[in-house]
Amino acid sequence: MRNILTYILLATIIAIAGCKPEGKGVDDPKPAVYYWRTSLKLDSMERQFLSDNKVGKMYVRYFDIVIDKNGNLHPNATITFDDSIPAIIEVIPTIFIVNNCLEHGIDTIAPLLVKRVLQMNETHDIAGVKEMQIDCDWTATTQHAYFAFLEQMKQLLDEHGMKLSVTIRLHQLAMEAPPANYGVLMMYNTGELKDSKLRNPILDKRDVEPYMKYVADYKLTLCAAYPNFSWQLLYTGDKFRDILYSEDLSDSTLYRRVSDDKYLVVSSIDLPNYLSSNSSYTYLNAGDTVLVIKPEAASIVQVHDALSHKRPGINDQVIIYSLNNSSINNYTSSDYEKIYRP
Amino acid sequence: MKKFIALSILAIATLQALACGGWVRPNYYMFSVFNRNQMENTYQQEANKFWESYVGGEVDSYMVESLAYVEPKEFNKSDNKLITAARKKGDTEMLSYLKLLNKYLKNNGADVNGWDYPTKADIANRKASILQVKKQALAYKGSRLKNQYALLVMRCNMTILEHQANINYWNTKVSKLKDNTYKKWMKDIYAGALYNTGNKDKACEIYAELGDMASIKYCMRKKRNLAGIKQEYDKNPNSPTLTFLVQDFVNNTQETLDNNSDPEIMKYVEATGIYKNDINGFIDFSGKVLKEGKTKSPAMWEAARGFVNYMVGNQDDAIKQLTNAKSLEGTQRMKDNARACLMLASIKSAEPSDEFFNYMLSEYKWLDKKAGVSKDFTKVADPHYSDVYERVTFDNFVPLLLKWGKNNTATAVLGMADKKAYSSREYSEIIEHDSSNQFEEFYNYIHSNPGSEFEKYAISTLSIDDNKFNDLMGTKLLREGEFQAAINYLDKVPLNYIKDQSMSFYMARKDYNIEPWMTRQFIGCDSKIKYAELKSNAKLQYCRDMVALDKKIANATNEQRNQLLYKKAALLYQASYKGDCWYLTHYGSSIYDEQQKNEYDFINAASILLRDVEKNTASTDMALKCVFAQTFITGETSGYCINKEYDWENDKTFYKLITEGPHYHAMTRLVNYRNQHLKVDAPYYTKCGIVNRFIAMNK
Repeated sequence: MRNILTYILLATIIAIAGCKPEGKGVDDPKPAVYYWRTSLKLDSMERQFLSDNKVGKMYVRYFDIVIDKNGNLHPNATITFDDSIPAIIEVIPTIFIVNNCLEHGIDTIAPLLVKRVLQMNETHDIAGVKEMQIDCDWTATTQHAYFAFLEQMKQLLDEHGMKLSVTIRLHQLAMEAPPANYGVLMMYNTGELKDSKLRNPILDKRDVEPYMKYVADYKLTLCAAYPNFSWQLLYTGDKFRDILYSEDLSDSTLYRRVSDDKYLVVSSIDLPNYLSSNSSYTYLNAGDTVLVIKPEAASIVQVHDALSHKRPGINDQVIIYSLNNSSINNYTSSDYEKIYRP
Repeated sequence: MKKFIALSILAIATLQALACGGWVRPNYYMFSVFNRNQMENTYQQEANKFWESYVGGEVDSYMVESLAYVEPKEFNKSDNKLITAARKKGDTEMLSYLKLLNKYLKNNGADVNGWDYPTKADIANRKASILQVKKQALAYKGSRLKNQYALLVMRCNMTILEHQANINYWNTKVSKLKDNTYKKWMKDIYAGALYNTGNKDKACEIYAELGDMASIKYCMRKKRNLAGIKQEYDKNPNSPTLTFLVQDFVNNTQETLDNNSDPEIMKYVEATGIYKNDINGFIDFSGKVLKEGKTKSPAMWEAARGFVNYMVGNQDDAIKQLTNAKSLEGTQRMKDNARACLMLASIKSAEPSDEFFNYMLSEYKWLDKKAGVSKDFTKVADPHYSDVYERVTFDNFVPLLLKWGKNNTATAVLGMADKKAYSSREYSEIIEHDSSNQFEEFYNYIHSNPGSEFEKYAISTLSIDDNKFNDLMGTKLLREGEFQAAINYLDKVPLNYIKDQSMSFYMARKDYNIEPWMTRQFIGCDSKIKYAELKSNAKLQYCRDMVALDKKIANATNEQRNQLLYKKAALLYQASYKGDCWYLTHYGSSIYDEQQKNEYDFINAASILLRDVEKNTASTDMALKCVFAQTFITGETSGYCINKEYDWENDKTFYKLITEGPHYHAMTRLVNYRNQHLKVDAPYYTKCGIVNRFIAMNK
């Protein structure tokens, strides 16, 4: 009986030890940014940001993987390299995979994907690439296919001496950790756009709270990504209609500022949707409102600190989403300092 | 046009019975001085006309672009339509051009979204190939294909981002070529080169001049307001961008004012005063532009302030300015635009005089011509003028005719619009839903010889043949409960005429003799409806049955009478819009249907009969059937007290009992009645799912 008890005690200790926070973050941590545009071109403000914040890593979206009408997976919206990245900065090619691709032969594309990324690096003289990242909003339904794909990717990258990282969305914390060298916990897009009048859909502590219990024991090395972007959300009455793309809300013939973050549309107009591939328009009607949403810096720092508390080391490396001159000024350099600190 | 506004004539009582309450009409923009149909493929489509005349057959853009898939070594054997045509003609000059075009298209752009990402060598080779194509194109000394070769040079420069080379080439060579599609195409590329080298203003002017809407909207994205208009005017009073900006301003003003359906929202917007200031500012500024005399397009400015004045209610100024605009200097489109806007504005202050109707007659004839309605009324050449036609007709002219009590003329105008390929559902709705008297009156009207030339013009497009007339009259009378009168018309309708109607599918499959509360006849909704082979016209038979039944009822007494009245109730319900046999009284069915003004209240009549029979019968069996039937009708008309709902949290469906409302009370009465008369053998009750669920949920 005593032997059995000892065995149980030992097993418990081992199990607890296995779940314990590792207390360390990613290897070779550096202040980092995501670059999520279709052409790589840095202006002076963006270069200054990189320099001021001693950014050492840039997670650059290379392309997306989408599914065409014939059910074939293929790259889309491939980035064009119109500029060079400061040599001091390590580039991590990042690939966004649309979730529905996971149900359509994802097992066949790993070699193509690795080959493509390597070729892009070579064609555009991007040297010193040691890692690749996969971004995907996988779910319980697609988990199996996704994990098998990651295993393949990991093996292929290993042959080239490269590591694999993945993004982790909050809801994915409740599931098994994917096979990768580390994960980036995305601390943005945590809420629902339709609820944006009640909670900040970009980052709201109340939306993060339910997932905090998974953070400490999550069985994958983690670092964290925080937002610096804002959204312009168009409402008709209380109904959310659309996101505007960098609209000039200071145009007083079209908008009237009614509070710090709220504008009233005073004259109807249609705005071309430059993000859409089918030349669609967003229609603004007189009487509509535009809410400018961004998380308070204090709120980001609060979540940052809560994460550090739950899982020491997670903020050893912080990634800001994203490097963009329209977002940089949403926060002060002091805010960025606080967010970047481990 | 952008969003939708509620159709104003829906609110007009005299045109009642438009069955589909969800029908809305877009708020088409009236002001159009800028060609809105310019799209990115316009040049290619226009260039295809050259190829069509060359090959002597239809050529689409894909056929030209697919040259890219022809391998150079296969070129001489290729079955590509363009190559084949040149080969057959022995046209070596054309074959050389096509070879070069093939080389350009093959190297035009690296497939940056293919799995095989181009290597440095691939990119260098492509660039070298493009440079070769350019060199060869520049070396062309002929004259027949000089436009095509020049375009090739510019496309090559664009591909390798040599924008300055394109600017130079345009200035030294292309600008001197004669105007044609290729030159317009090259000018667009030239504008792109200007834009990319920082000369954005000039680029925007060219986009505006060419009518490249997508590019101009992008270029002018920060200037789409009065301040932007003033800024552009100050730079150049004849800048082509003003054509776009003025039109955009007027259309946005229309949008703002059309959006006044929600008074709460508009109250808030008006409180800002901004858009009103801008509108007034625009009217003043247009006056200043006209006074200065620097513009070469006074027709546009005068029409713009005239139409804005019309929209804000300054009717006298509007009429004066729009009338004046027609004869001022400007493009033909600007003058036409003024005329179209004046037609609309004139309706607002019109009096029912011969002069006005003659004016409308001439303007409608002109509008038909501008819209380019095909002779068979199936196609419209310029959709802007069909939009004008719709806004003038449906939202303004028809309501005015109704206000003047000219209902038949209003319906004829709607019919005319319907016939001429404009989007109209109103006419068929009215023809279907008007009362038999109204319809007969309209039928007589269009077969009369009205004195007014306008009315003659309107009715000349309409025809209602005998079969349609008899079927509609018979159906309307049936719907009004006039069964004997309906027989006189339905008797003349050939079965083949009924067979071709979509409702015949249901007529052939649903039997009105089945009691609706005992057996539901669900046959689903088939999108690929095949019209049915009918053995008889059920409408005619139904009327005959009802007339015979009424005779029997008149002679029956006691329980036999109750049995017949019960049967009549079932037949009445079946013919209602809720009945399985709605096809007896309607030509279509929808869950949004409701009791119409010109429709006999079949449901209420059935309910009254059932209540009477329940009260008068000595048979508890019959009484229970009547209570059961009434409960069914209450559920169908007021909603059931048991709802199937979905539990999102637990991902399952469940039933919810609503203990308030008529059906709950009807069910309670039914269950209580049955409990008091347990001896009645009633499997329709004991096996009824809703009854059993209700009993279980009430325990």
